Amino acid sequence: MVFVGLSWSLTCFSQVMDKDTLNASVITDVHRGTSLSRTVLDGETIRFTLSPIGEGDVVKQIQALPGVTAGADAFSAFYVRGGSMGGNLMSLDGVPLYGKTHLLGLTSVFPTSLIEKTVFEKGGFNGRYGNYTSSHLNILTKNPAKEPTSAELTVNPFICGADVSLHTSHHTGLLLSGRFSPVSIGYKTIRPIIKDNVGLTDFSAGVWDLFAKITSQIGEHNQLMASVFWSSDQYSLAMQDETRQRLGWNNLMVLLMYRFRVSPHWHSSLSLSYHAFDNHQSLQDTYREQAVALDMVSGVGEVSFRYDNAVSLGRWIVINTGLDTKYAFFHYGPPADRGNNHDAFLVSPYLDMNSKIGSVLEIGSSIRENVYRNIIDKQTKAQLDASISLRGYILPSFYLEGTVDKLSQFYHNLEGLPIGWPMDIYVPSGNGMKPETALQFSISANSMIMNHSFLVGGFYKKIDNLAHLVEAGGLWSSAALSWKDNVDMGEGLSKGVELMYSFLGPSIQVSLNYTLSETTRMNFERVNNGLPFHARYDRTHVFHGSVNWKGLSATFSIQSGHWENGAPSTYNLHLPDGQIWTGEFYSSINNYRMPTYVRLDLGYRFQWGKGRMKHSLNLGVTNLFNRFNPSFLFYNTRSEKWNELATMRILPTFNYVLRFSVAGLNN
Amino acid sequence: MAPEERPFVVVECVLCEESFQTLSLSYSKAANGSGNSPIVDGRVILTDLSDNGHKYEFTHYEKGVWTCTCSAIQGHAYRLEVLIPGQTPVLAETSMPSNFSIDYNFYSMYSNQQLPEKYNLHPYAVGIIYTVASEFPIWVWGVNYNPDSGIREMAEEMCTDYSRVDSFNLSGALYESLANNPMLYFLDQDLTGRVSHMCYLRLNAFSGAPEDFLISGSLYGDHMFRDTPSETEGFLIFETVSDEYDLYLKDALTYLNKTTEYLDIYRRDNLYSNIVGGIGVFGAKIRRLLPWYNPSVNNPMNPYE
Repeated sequence: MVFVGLSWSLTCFSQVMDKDTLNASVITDVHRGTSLSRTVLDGETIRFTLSPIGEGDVVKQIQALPGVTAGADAFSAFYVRGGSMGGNLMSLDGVPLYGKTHLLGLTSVFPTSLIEKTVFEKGGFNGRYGNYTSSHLNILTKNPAKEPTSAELTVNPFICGADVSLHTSHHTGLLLSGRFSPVSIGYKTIRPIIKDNVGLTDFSAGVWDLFAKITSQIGEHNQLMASVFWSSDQYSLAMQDETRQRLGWNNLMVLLMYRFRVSPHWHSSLSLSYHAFDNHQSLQDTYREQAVALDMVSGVGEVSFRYDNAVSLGRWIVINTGLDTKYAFFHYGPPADRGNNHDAFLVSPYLDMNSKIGSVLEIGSSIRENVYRNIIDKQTKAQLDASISLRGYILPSFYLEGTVDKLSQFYHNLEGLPIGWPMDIYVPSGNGMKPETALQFSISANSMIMNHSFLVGGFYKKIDNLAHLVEAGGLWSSAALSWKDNVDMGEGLSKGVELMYSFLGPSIQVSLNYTLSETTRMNFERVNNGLPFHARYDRTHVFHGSVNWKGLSATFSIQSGHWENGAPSTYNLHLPDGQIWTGEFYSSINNYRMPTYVRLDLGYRFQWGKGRMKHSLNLGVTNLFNRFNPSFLFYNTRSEKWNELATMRILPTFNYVLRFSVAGLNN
Repeated sequence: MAPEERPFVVVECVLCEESFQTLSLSYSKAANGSGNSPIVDGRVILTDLSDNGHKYEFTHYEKGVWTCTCSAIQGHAYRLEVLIPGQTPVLAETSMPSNFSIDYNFYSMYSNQQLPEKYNLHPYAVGIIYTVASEFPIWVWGVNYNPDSGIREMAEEMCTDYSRVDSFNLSGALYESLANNPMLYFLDQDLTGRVSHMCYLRLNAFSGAPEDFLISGSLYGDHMFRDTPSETEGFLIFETVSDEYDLYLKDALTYLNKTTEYLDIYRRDNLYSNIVGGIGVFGAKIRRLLPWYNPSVNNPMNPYE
């Protein structure tokens, strides 16, 4: 079942959906509607898409969209129109979710079986959500009051889980879910019989999540909703050379929401939420016979209260207004260091107006005034966000669309940390760190002929006050005067062309997406002498293609390699005493392009069962060519050499779903 | 993991008051292995911007070393142009230091001189007190003559009580005086317990009244010359340097001293360079050689013996 979202309808209640009645097979992609700036995906589509862990993942679908470049192979990082990873807001029922992944990034943190739909925006934003500069991925969970009583079991090699939807009364529903990862058990089981090529002596992973949601209809038009999401990832890795790494992260999110109708044309909601995200990383190693022990923790907690309204003025105008308030607290640095704590307060009233003039013009506009205060630094900032989108229909099946967005973000996600696995370290704006801002323009032409959809567009994006971690040492050492000493601020520039073609036939679906882009970073005073350099995931060409035919599906991807710090030039350096040393010169950071990325995945979906019991089995092979697609470089402290590491070679996958419904299945 | 990069022009030239100047010119070794060769063709022009643009030209001597017969003049600004066929011009500018004074005095019970105020607790102390005032940074290091190898070697530890010494290269070792004459107080004992520096002392510039200070370190062997050190004597070298050369030296030594730390694996900083269109340094210096005093090897009665 595939839903197509219409982009102009932006209210929280009046999402207009077109329902596609095609039978889904193993879906590798989706007919995404007719906007390059906004994509709506339903939960079923996401769930049965091929992915390395067997079960579909919303982020894997996002990574295949035009204008989006993926991070390392198989992982969940994505970069939208040249923005930073931290510029993407992921929210769960509107609450920001800062710990975004499970399994070291192999999949996103939230169970796809509980997703009603996701809305992904990369331009023409509404003002309801803010504090991001690149994109917004809003995951909306199922409403158990509208679901039949059912239970479901999911098993794949990476995550096993069960969820129950209880329709306790006519107006009340309860959704419960729990998952855990069996990879640690699997490793210990097969370890005696597998050949160890990397010197791994111990590995353990504790990965789980729990979700509960209750909704209760109060009267005909009002609804009370409460939900809790709790997740944890903990990893420990030991090598023969006595290197040991530990890392992990946790999420806790609580949401209480009351939706009510003021009048037939005026709907409102009040919500109170709390989200805490923390992570830690430690490394024990030996380098040149010296023991190395590094330890770091970071976290962000946020309490939010918001009030939202949606008012329809006649048939053609919808106005959304509201107030979004957040109180956030941050900590980061070595565990013993209690000096790096910051509190911040953000108040953002907003106003959206979406109007339609006949059948030829749609106008969306929004403003959001952000008043931000870093309480520790005693610094207050006011920043106005604004967006406008215009869509003009030249023909009923052909339109032009343009968007302009001015955005700001008050939390920085420090990137550039080179030790081990990358961490999400959120730090607030304050003294010496201005809020990140972005100005973006996009234009596109869209047409649909029969079952063929063509979209071509271009974008230009300028980002200011990007944070870049210059030296890792300051974060790991409490001896550093201030972690800010290791952060430099600069600019980003990205421009590109996006192409999308899709065909939606009765038994075959085809999707082809291509992006040509260039993304640079510049004017960092202490990085690359202020000169421009490639953003790490500045992939010039990105192509994704997918075909689904009667249960059989294939996805193919070819992309320019990303950028790493390659070997330097060397030269002789004369010291005053006459000694000659070898100096190193990097013409730029990120000066080495990794090999071209190529991957083919194949899959097939079986479905059987009747009545209340239904089975679904996805079988697939990831990276059928067994191509070595290096994800990143890591430094071997013994050989003192950099090595390329590929995380995903050829990998057979499966995902089995057993669904039991009391009222009978509805799809 | 070799980026497709061309070799870069590497220039090293530090002007001095000597009667001729030398310059090193080469291609860097690119990551793909290309380059790494001396540059022997081209033109290298030195312009004295403080002398109506008077030009001097370097000529190739051997293996990428170029020389020019001229003396750099204190306070003058200079521009260097390197013109290599097929390459964009390489440019750099610097200025010769000026307005500095470096001196020393040997004190003993026989010298009949009054010790500076901060050392007057020991009226009969023995040792050398240095005095310096400079608007430019000063680099100091010591060399010892090693009779076994027959060459001069750099002292690995240096220590001072100078108030404006830069602590960028602290070694972590504490200075310990080797004085062992119970009848005398040797001035280097005032340095006991201070943290030593690795090889070099970098004295920050200042334009106030000259400051008195002590210097000692891992110095040994013959020394204590009167005018010019003999072939078998050690000495201290004081170099007042241009701002460009100072940045280059400090950056280079910081880099060299840090390469054994784990987190420095991830450093991607380039050394300071003021060469436009290339890498390296174009700087200037004024050098002075001064004696030092070590109570463990000197005759306190007559150190010049």
